[in-house]
This record gives sequence, C-alpha cells and structure tokens, in this order.
Amino acid sequence: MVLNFGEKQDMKAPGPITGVEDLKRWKEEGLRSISPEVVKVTVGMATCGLASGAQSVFDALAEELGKASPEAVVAKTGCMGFCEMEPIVEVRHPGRPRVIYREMTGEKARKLVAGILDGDVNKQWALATVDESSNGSPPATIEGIPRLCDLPFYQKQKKITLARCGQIDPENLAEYIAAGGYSALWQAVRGKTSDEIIAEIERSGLRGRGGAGFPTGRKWRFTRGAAGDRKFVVCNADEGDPGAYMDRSLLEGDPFAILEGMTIGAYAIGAREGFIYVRDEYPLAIEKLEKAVVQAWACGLLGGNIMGTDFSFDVRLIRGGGAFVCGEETALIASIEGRPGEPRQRPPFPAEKGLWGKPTNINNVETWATVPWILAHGADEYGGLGTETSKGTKVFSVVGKINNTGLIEVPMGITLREIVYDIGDGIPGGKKFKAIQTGGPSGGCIPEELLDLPVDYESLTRAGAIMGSGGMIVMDEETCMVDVARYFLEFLKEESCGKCAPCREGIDRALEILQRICRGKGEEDDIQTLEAIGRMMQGFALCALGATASNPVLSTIRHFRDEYQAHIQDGRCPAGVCRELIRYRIDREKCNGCTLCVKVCPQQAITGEKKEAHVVNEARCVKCGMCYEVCKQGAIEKE
Amino acid sequence: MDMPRTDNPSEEYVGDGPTLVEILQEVQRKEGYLPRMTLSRLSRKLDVPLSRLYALATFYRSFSLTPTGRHLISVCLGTACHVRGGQTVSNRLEQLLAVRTGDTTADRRFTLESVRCVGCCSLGPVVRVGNETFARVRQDKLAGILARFQ
Repeated sequence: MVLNFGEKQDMKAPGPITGVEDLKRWKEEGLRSISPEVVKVTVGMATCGLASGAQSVFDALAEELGKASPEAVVAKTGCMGFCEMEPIVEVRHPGRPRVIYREMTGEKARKLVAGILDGDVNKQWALATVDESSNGSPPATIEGIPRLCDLPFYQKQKKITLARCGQIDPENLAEYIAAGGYSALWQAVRGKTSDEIIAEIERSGLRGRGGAGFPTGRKWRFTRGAAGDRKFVVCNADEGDPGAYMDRSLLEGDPFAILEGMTIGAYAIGAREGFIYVRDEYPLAIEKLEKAVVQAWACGLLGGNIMGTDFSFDVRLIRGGGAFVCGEETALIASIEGRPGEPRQRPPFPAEKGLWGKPTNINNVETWATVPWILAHGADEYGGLGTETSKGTKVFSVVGKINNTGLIEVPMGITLREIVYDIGDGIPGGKKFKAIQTGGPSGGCIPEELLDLPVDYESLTRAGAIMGSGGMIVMDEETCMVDVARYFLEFLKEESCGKCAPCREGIDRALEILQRICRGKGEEDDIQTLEAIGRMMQGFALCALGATASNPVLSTIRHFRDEYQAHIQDGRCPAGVCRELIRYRIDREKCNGCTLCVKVCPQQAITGEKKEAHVVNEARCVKCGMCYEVCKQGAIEKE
Repeated sequence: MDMPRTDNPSEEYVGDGPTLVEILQEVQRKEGYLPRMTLSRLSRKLDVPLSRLYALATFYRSFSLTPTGRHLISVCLGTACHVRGGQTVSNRLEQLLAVRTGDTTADRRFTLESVRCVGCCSLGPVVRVGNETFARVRQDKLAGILARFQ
C-alpha cells in the first residue's frame, strides 16, 4: 500500500484541532503512521533523491512489495542530509532496528524486497542502522552495520531545525504533530502573550539565518512596536546562493515547520497575513508547501480562529520571477508589489515600512523553521549551544571537492577543519585542500591556514568571508582562485539590478580586469585597481549585493595573491584551469595507445594508432578536458 | 483573471488579486513565452503601462519575449557545479545543439539556458531538461540525454 496523501481520504481524518484532545488524537494517528505494525519501506524523494534516480527505486519497491506483501507500506520522505549516498532507502521491521541503504537502484530495490521476505538484510548495501531505544535499554544493532549516529558524517552534527527532514512524510500533518509539531503554536496562542514570545526568541540569541545574522527577537520587537494596524510576516525562500540548498531541503522535507514558525511570529507581532516568497526554480518545494497549506487550513491551523482562539492568520505563496537580487528584502518587497526587484534606500527598514508601506517582518526559511523548536524546548536550551555571540546551530550545505557531500546541522563554534575532515571526510581523489568558500557571492575563500577558525558570524567576517546562508564550497588544488573570483563577478553582473552606479559599473570594470588576467593579459597595477574598486563598492553601493560583490575578489587577493601574480607576471595558471593559459599534452611514457581519447575528442584533435602513443594537436584543441576525464592511464597532462 | 489594485504603496492592498508578476507567469506557462499582443491586451485590461510590463518581462529570468523550444535545457552553473566542470558541460551543449546559451534551436526542439543553482549541489554537474534532472553529467553522456527528448 503506497501512502499518498490523496489516498488517505478513506482513513478516518482526525478532524480540526481546537483542543488538547484533538492534538492528542492527531499525534496518535501520526505515531501509527510513522511506526506501523507492518513492514515499512521509506524512500528519500527530495530533489537530490529524485535527481539520483529515486523515482525508479520507489516504483520498483511499490511494485515488488505490492505483489509479494501488499500490507507492507511504501512511503516517501525528504532529505536526510547525506546526499552523496542518494537514493536512500530505509527498511523498518516492527521491533527491529531500522536499516538504511545507500545508492539504491531499481534493480537493487527488487533484491531488497526479496531480502525483506526471506530475512536477508543485504548488508553489502547498508549504510547504517537506527534504533531509538526506549525505557533505558541500549539501542539494538545489527552486526556488521554501523549505527547512523556513529558515522563520521553524523557524529558531530546536532539536528534541531533539520530533525524531522528525512524522518517523516512531509505531506503528512499527523506525522509532523507526532514528531513534536504544533505543540509550540498551541502553547503560544493558548497561553502566552506576544511579549513573552518575543522575549523568549530574544533570549535564545537566534540570529537571522539568511546571511545577515540580525537578531531575530529584536526584529520582531521592532515590527511589533511599529505604527500601523495592518502588518505582514514574510518568509524569504528565494535561496539564491549557488551551492546552498538548505532552505530547499527544509521546504521539501518539513514544510509545516515553516508554517508553524510564521504563525507563531504573526501572533507575536500582530500580523494576520503572511507571504512565502519561493524561488521559481524550486517546483517541488512549492508543491510541498501548497499541500501543507491546504492541510493546515483544513484543520484550523491556518485561517480563522486558529486552534479555537480568536487569532486568525493566512498565508500566500508567491513564486519568484527568477532573480537572485530578490533575496534582498527590499527587492523581494518590490517583487511582491509587482515591480522589478530593485532594492531601495534604508532606513526606513521593512519592520517600519515594508510591503505596501506597512510594517513587515521578513525572515529566512531556516529562521522560521527554528522558532517552534525554541519555544517548545526553551530559549536556554537553544542558547546553551553555540558560542557567546552566535548561539544555536546552523545548517550548512557542504559541496564541491569533498567526499561526503550533503546537508549538515552543527552547533556554532565547530571548526572548519572538523567540517572538512571529520564530517566531510576530506578531499576525493587524494587531492590537496585549497580553500573553502562560504557565503556565496557575498562571501569569501578561506585557506588552509585558517581551517581552525570556529564557525561563527564574527570569525568568518574577520577572515574576509561571511557566514552567509550556509553554502560551503570546498575547493582543491585543481581550482583556480582567480577563476573563482571571475566566476562570482560574472554571476553578479547578470544578477545586479543595475540601479546604482557603484555596483553596475564597479562589477563591470572588475570583471573586465579579471577576464583579462585569466587570458594572460594581466597588468602590473591590476591588483591595486581591483582593491580600489572593491573599497568603493563596499562604501557606496545601495544594497548588500553591491556592497559585498567584491568580497570574493578581495578575499582571494588576500589569501591567494601568488596565484594572481602567476597569472599576471608569468601568464601561468598554476591550477591548470584558465583555458588560454593551459595546454593538454600526452605523456608518451604513460600512454598505452587505447584510443579512448581519440574517440572522445570533439575536435578530432588527437591522433594516434592503437598501441602507439597518441598526440594532441594544439591548434585544434579547445581545452574541453574530455580526454583528461576519460584517460585511465593518467597520461594526459595539463600545463 | 482578477485584477490587482494599483501599485501605489500608500493604498490599501486588497489581498485577493494576483501580483503582476504572477499574472505574467500564468501567460508564460500557457504560451511558453510572452507574446507582444498578449502584453498589449493585458496593459489595456489592467490599466498598466506597456512599458511597465516590458520592464517586468525583461527584468525577471522566468520570462521570455520570444517563443521557446519544446524542451527547456537548464545547465546549472552554480558554484558547486562550476567547480565540478559545469562550464565544460555547457560549452559542449552549445556545440551539440549549435546554439548559444539563451537561444532556441532552429527546429524549436530545445531552448538552452544557464541557471545558477537548482539546489542539487552534491550531484554536480547538473542539467535539467523539462522536469527531469540529470546528475553527475559527463560530456560524453550528453548526446544520449538529448536523444531522449524529441
């Protein structure tokens, strides 16, 4: 039996939630759904799971189990965070430890089902086991399979905001409630004043997780105190930093958390209307949110008389138009108001004058999703994690040249080294670490010497980067840092709204210089000029996009000046990336004449007979790198 | 379609009408692009200057003023994909399709665009064709991927 929300119509719906008994009933329903008395197989079906082939895994499981054991349940869940291992499947026999399988395919799924029936655990595909022990007894394990919490990837993590992602069906309200959801809202609307709630958020030390790190409680207090009887709350789900997908996973894996957080915020601030502005490029997130909103409405968790009180709150989903700059709060407001996303002068800040001139509280997805936890567990418990100025945990996407790519949640204060080597398991292919880039196009690159820095807002800023929304891109010896700076400026040139001269002209001029340098036509005072442009933009740009646009350039100049100098003075790209400065050559000693590269070259630039050393014709070579990718002998050299 | 109230920020927002961007998104979804005539008609119906609709159409990436192909190919050039060779995949696609990024093939089969981050950063380089996402794309697999979309 495949659990789709639509197909649950025949199950008796637990009804609207207006009393403690109702919540209890929903919770029991949810627990039965999370842990049924039958075999349950769950597939990770967030965007990365799907991109890795999870649909065919799901279909195979549904088909095979449907034939062999129709009472077993096949369910979907969001992202567990270990994206490198997708597609991920979890098998749960009642009373036994859950087994999590990695890198599944349709074919393996069929064998898995056979194993479920005949008792073969198929250890060779198992990633880990999970057993939540109750009544104090030690958790059960299966010999030969490690426990999930012992895996290096998970050991140093602390899941708070991400706790439910990958554990529940995101479309199932009952499971959300069983996993602790809506208890915070209940306590809030039923027994707390706005002041108490705002004070709790202030005490927790929660800072905006979108990148700026502004204290959330303080922002709520400003908005609450602003003049006006009509106020708005907004969720900024325009996650645009390339390399960052924390918000996407939350929206796809635990959409109710955002709704609950916003409802609590609206109650505290005195707003009755909310908007969730989601990037156009996240169709699955939009779909999950829509389903969550529909269910919340049906159960009195959104709309009029929430949870039986006289508090009303409604939420509208707005799709972005495809513009990075709309992640900037005033540009986002302009976009909702039906104008191009051009930022405006501040003050006045949105808390005072936002959407349609009304007080508006804008927070990031991760911030909203953390609010229920803080209220349910208390400010002190949240504040007990992290550092003095950066409390709590943060979700990061660890991507690029790293073995364990994925989404992690760690307490603030953990070091970059722990993230890269303990959690991330280092650089693939035995290559050497070069830099970790944080903060997206507003951030910077941190070199090896600074890997022992604790991850908190202030330390990262001092190092020339920023915390940003949480994207962490690991780079190795084959990454050219000048090319990275050029890449970010190209991105920003496309995304700049063009309204203010410092950003519009500054980015253009800096990009021209970097492009010249990457072509080997760098000049003596280029670095000086880039630094001057950077300082100008920092001081005079209208919004943070422009003011931080020079961070990637300035941080790479600061930490990797020698690479700039190699490009400018020697016309050399040490990392072997800048196409005009490299050439591909075949090492005659290593070449075994297999003709793989000859066949694969799109320009027919390689000649050579079988069993004879091949040669690259440099005049025809366009440096695409295909030969380098396919050669099994390591005979292709970049120099 | 409901008409939105005017955009003057000091006026009361009704709360029910779609935003201008949402209206245009509806047209983009139905027609595959924003035809000039539709924009003119909208301008008259909504009492919004055509230049204003043009500003929105050219500012936001979701919109195209020219017809797009049957299949939209989006190559991710986000940082993680870039670091894993996204640019070379993009160049190869330009070669295979004989178009530049942003253009549509002569037979209107494909439109090739680059996007900055679809949020599958662990699986780079990533290419989306329509609603299907392809992960860990290698240049030599591209022809095979394209052949699946007629």
